[in-house]
Amino acid sequence: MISEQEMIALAYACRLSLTPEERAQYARDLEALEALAGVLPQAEGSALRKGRACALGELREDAVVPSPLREEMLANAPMQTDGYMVVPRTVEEA
Amino acid sequence: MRPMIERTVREHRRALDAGEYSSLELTRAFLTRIEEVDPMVGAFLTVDTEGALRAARESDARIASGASRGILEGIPYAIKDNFCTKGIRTSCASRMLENFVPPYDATVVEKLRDAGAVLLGKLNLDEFAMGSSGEHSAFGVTRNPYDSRYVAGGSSGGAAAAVAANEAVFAIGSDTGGSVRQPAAFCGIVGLKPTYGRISRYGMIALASSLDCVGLLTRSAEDAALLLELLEGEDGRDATGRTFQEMGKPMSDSRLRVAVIPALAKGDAVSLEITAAVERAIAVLQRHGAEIGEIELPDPEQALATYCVLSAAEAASNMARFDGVRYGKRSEDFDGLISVYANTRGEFLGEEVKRRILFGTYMLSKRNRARYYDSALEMRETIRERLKETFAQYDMILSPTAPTEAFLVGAEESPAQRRRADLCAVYASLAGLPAISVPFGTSRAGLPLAVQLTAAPFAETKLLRVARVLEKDASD
Repeated sequence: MISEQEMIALAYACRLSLTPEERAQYARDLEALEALAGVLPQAEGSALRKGRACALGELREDAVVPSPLREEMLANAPMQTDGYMVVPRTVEEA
Repeated sequence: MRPMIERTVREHRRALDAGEYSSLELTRAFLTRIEEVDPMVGAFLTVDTEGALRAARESDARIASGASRGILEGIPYAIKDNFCTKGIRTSCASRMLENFVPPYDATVVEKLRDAGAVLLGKLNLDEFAMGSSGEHSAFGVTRNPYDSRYVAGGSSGGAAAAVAANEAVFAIGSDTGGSVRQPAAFCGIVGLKPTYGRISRYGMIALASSLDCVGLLTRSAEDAALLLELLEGEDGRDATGRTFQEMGKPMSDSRLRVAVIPALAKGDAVSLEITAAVERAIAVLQRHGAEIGEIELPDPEQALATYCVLSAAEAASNMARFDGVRYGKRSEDFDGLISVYANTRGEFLGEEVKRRILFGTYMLSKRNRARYYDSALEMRETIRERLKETFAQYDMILSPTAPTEAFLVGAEESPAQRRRADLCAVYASLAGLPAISVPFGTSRAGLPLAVQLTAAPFAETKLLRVARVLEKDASD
């Protein structure tokens, strides 16, 4: 059973605003999905082979390259000014 | 000869080269067809009429001057709306990206343009490719061209329906846990998910990065082979791109060995008509000299659970980028940075997307991570190892593509029940293997049936060869 408090914490972690009705509905859905996941046998911690999950291919080296798309990327920002994306104030004035 | 809009890539190539019709005439025929049938089907989100006609004219000029770019020159296609197309809206069927116009093309779009193919437009999908029915788009349901009371499948439902309804010669989709193969099966066309990494995903908006593949939706296995040859290869912009290396049983072995998974071939999990289709396919392959054997894999329900946990965890992480700051929409109702994120996502993401973000985050929470996420990673390794052993003995696995034929639009099912649509597709996804859905008859209700072939990494040639055998038998 997922409590209302747990759903509030989960929605916060997900950065999702949900109404109380939505939280109640999603709690029921998550319980059903958790039951579906319940058929998985318990992994034995120390023997985990999860490190190999990404071993399908060798990854290339990261490289920093200039982006020629700055202005075009900015064109898709919800709000922009003087070549920068605009975000709401996060530190309040004293 | 079939009517113009029903022909395959190969047939169009011959006709275009012989001057039977021009690319412009062909493109106009498809644009007219889209206008006529798409209000019912709901396959397209954007039709680029002007761009398609311009590309067709340029193609005709190249053909006339002997400068044809090859097999796809002048051939109209469409692409799922989660691939970036420079200057053309890419919405992911979400209100979040309703006005997003990418400044660059995905690698596959670039390659198809360079090959002379004509882009007709962008195709509907379950929002952010999360869904298996084609009903979870913010811009309307995609319906099955065989019977509009039924779903087209998903998440590449628009892509499958567009090809099946003769609105495009072929389509490009994405396949994370069956999203190309299942709608292809529901709509009676071929759907190929290549080996993980074989086609660059640059410019394809990510769902679950360890599973996502570019997929091909075509009228024939031959068309899928032609497209794969053109689109495969590393491009340096997808870190998971892989160079071809044939693995598994060598091609030189003369007798084809095909494995079936009893739990999917005979079990209660699959509909009777699909089970019968698999049995017919076994008989066809036996007539062609194939040896059939049974293999044991971890239970399909466990494979499905593994997929659900891992794909949701990765999706929750990938979706964090849609926060109302860098691109997409922003809620006007906020009083600080956190509420910009939360209200934007709450307002503009759909129900299924929110459910998966919540479930993925829940699976990664302190309480659940070891119990579910780590267990899923472990199970994925077990599945991979078992499949590797399988392909040391067998050339491929024959199974259903999906446990049922297409279901009714609006069918009352819980989110957990809906996830069962991926049951037969997830083994290949979890192990990064190539798999193809081949149309194989019709049900008593007149809906397409299909079977799936899965092979070792990079064994697409073998897969496509056997797919053609089944395809020929089904059409005889």
